[in-house]
Amino acid sequence: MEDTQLMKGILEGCVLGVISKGETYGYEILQELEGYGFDNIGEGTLYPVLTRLDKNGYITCRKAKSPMGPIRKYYSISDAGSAYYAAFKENYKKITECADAVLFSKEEES
Amino acid sequence: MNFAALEFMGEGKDGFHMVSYVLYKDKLKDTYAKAFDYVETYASALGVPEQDLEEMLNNLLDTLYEAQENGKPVEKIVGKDLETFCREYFQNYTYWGNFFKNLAPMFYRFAVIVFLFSLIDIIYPEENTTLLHAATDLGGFVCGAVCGIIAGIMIASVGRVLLSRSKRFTNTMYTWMTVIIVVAAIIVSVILCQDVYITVPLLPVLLVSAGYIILYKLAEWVKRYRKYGTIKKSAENRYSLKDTMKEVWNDENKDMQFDVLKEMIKTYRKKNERLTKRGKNAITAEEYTEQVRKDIKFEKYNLGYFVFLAVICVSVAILLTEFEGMIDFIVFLVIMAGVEGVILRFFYKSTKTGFDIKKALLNECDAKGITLVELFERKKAGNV
Repeated sequence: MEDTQLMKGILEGCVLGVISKGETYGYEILQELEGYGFDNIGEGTLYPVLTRLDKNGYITCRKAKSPMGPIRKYYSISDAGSAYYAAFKENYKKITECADAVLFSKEEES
Repeated sequence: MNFAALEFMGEGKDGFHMVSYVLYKDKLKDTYAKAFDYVETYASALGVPEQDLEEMLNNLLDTLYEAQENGKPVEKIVGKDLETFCREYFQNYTYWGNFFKNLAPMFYRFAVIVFLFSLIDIIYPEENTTLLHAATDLGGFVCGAVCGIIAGIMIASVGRVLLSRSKRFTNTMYTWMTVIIVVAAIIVSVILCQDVYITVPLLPVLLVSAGYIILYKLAEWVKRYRKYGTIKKSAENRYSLKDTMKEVWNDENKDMQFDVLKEMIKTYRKKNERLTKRGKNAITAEEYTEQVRKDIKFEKYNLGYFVFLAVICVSVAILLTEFEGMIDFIVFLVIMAGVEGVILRFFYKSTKTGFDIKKALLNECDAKGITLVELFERKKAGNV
């Protein structure tokens, strides 16, 4: 999965989707995304997304000591985040319906 | 995910200890350690503000450590090119952006030092002057500040160039480079400030520095209150040297105990290698355990030793200094006692923790009926 511009548009929503399932942390989010087929997402891509979501108030963050020792940040979705996520899913559905109509119906004709 | 398994440090009246990532980075190995070292050096050369640096490196360290434990390749976390990773990870930071972000706290520290030394000029004024007419020399401070800023820019510039050109440039080399440049800057500023005099009226200096300190603190409180609903610093959950040292001096910390035990066994084995080379009998594990038991009996003299050392150091400093009057002597005594007190307290706490950890290990050996060597082997195998 390569197209970085396409990825930038949807990654925030996808990360929020993972967090909406329950309190989680960085490595777990990477594992979840990899499980869904996002195999090129690294910490360099994820951390700025999480920082943006935190800054916009869509997620809350709690610090605790991990079993290994370093301090770990645990993320949960906020009320504003849930509303944003619901709106994101609506918009994504509309956009993909339109894009599918353009991309795949033309291919069928040709 | 089992939250009950998480260990919260310092629960109770001390609260949660926000310790530095530095305490745990040695747990990374091989490619994970190399990747982390590169990122750490990059962040230092970029001048990422301290609290942000702690957050981001703690986060990366935790992720890399879990990847290491699960056998996930390091490239899955940091990609194939570390420089690209760093540019992405620190995308919100630029060197000059960080420089200006760090200026306000830098001026705050400068203002505190200037204010304190101006107070000394008030307590011990020059003869035949009043507060309104008194003056102070800021030459030394300004020289030091300018040399410090130039040194900082040099360290960051050279660090970034070396990091991008040489894969062998490690964080240890960066640290040594920093020490050398800082020492050179101190020497240059001491030489320069001998002939630089910036004499300014004392009262405006006092008022401006006090004013800046008050404004800075007010701005900090307002920012904290707007974000957390309180002006208490603890609300920010900031990483602090104090909390990190509390953890270093925590004799119940199992990782710390294992590290001390590892070093003791290393010393024991090296000693036996030397004895064997000289054709002498090696020390048995039981003999070594007894030797450690005898050594920790000196613990009761630990505090006395450091108090004695502090008194000697202060006395020697007083004997080597000429004082112009009683107030000069008292100010010198207070500064010396304060500075030496901090340094000696650090060494006292470190040795005390060492003694307490050894006591805890010996108690564990007694409870299990084994030697220190056997205890180490069991802990290493994860059987304890």
